[in-house]
Amino acid sequence: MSKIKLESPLIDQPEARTGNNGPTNAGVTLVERSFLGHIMLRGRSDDAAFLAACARVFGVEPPTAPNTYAEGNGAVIGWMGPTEWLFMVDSEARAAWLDALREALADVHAGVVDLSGGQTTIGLEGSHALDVLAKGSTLDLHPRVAGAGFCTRSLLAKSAMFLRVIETGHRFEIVVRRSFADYLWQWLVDASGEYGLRILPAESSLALAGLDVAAPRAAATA
Amino acid sequence: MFQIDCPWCGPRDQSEFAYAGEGGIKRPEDPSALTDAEWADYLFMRQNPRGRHHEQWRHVHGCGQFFDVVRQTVTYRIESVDLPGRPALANASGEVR
Repeated sequence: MSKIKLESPLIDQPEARTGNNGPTNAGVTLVERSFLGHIMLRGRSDDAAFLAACARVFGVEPPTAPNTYAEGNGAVIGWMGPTEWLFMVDSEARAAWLDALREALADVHAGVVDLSGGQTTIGLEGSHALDVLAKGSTLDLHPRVAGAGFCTRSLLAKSAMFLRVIETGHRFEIVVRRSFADYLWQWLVDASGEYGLRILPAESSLALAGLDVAAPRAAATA
Repeated sequence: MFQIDCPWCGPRDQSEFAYAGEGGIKRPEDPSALTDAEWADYLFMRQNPRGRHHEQWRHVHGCGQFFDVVRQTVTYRIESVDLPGRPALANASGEVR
């Protein structure tokens, strides 16, 4: 068996890996959260057995309110559609989460697919983060509409994205498909330039997105 | 360009959606009992009206769901949006006005 090298889709953007030593008072801060575990979860939101099985693993039920996400047991569970959730965890915990989920959902009508290699995550924060998004998105991201806990799939600069509001108005997270990541990163760097851009070195944990990261196994058996 | 009020996600720009054909077309219960002309009518013939039009749209860059829309083809005004299976425009005979 040949070894497959783990490589970020932003491999051609050296600053995405090392950071750019930008000013600390920059209007926009970008950071790639690479190699996170991205898991697609399918199931029926009116199936009590499915919701209960998920709750045993996550600690919370998958959100059934459109365009909201929940946090539980070191995972983020975002509503993508009425039968579809994106579930993000730290990279080292990915395999354990997959096992725990597949075990818990073995007897219910559900699907669990590992998408980790297919997409990456870009953190976008700062006082002008909203202005950057406004350049390429038709979404209404006014805090009245897109407050804390808001997430959605949409388009950013013609690229499909999954957007999550971490802190209303100034802290966002974008999940983008691998093949669009390099383009979208360059677009974000260009769009952020006028506000002053700081790029932080890439990291592989959701902890810096404000999440309390815990082990899934302990949670699943609790 | 116009906005469409997705039944799941609320008002979003048209660029997030894809048109998915005329709405309210029912598959014949027993296709083998139809004449070729009737089958061709089901497969190919569409209303293409000037005025109210019953359509299906899909929120392809959002929640991914299909839903029904009644839209004025002249003014682009959207009269109603509903989940599929509840065609707002069908009359008693099931025919689209």
